Amino acid sequence: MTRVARRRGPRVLAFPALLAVVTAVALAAGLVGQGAWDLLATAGLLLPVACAWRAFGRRMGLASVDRARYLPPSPAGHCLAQNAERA
Amino acid sequence: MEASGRALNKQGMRQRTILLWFAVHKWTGLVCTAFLLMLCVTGLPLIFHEEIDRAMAPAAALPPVPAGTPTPTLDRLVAAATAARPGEVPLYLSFDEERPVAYVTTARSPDAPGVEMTTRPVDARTAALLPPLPQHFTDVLLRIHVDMFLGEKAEWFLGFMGVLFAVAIVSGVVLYVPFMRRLAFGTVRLDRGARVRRLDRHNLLGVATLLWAAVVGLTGTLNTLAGPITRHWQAGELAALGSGGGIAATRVSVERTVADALRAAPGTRAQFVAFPGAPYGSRRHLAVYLQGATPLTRRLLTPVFVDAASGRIDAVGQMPWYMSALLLAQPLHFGDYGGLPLKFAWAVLDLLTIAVLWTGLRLWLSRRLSARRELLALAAA
Repeated sequence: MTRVARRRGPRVLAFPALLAVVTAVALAAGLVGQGAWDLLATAGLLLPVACAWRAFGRRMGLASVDRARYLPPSPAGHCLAQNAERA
Repeated sequence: MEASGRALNKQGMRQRTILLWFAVHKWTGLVCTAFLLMLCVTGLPLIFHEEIDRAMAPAAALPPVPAGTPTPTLDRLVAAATAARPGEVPLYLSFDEERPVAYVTTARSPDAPGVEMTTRPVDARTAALLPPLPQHFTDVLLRIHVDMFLGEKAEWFLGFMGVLFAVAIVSGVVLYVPFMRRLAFGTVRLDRGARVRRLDRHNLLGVATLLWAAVVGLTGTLNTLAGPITRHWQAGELAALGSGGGIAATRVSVERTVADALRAAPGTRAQFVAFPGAPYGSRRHLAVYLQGATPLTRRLLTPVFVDAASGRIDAVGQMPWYMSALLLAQPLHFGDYGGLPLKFAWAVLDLLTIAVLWTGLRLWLSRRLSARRELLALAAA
């Protein structure tokens, strides 16, 4: 199941914010130098691409990213337990 | 009673807020989508324009230089190209980064519009004229991308679409929260029908590409303002530098001028020279634009202004902040600053942006269709 306990705005946006920061660092890295900096830039941009790749995946839920990390700490256990019960 | 009433009121407020943001997202998104789809589709091959140009019209190999040929001065290169265009004056002299080739741009007068300028490549080892630059298929694409062949006002209109796109992105993030509150990041519900699947894809693709899309969109908007920004710089700082009198004739040697400028700013190379009166020049000076070695300093040019009559260096300057912003906006829009791998990343992100626009459009269409179906069903009953 992909439904999690109701989360507040900052928590919903935590992972998107991380992606945005990685993208920003990647875009800037390419401007700073060449060689390793360019690689860093490309690698950084591939992270949002990898996440977006999931959009076309066949499976549901978070397979490639550690899901537990993005669940709220206390209601998460409750929610996971519920899910386990349902399953 | 009162407490529950307040709670209801709060819920109503929240719903109204969501509906308001939804309206903002829908309308800014819809208006800019038509143009953004065009920009994304024409922009995709433009990411690789260098590779495409080279593949479609490979640069002819430079002829061998006879032994003992002295290296011509820059003045001879300018003279050779200008002689081929009678009645025209030189505006710019620029240098190829990879081959010993110089480009001389001429026009009837220094203030001629860009379309009336002619750029001629010259062999920097022999001062022999090289064949004129070919028209590339990507040049046509670029014109469509920039102004759809409709001039500067159309360019600004597309810039405004970039602003709408930014508003659509911000409102999209605001809406992402209530829609994803109960879903783990990256969830695409495949078992709830096409509309829910499309919504989840739109949300995931949109939020993943958000920063890239915002940067490329807004730097694109900034690029559409290149004309007015450059004119502002010209009318202000550049005019102050060369105030008084008409456009000066170039009496000093270009070769000497460039050498002097390079000595004034060690560790740089000359990217181009602007002759008196040219858009990037001053009325009284030869302006030598120097660039550094890193991608950053390669874009942030240092102009050296040399008096066209006396050869005296009058100013070594940084460009004003708005010109620096304009120059930095270019690589961040084109994605041409990190080699081929970065270009591929740019291309994939461009395709993903198309997917965001497309899923957004489909969401709007399916909603209209379902509303119409409901209406027709009601009418039939």
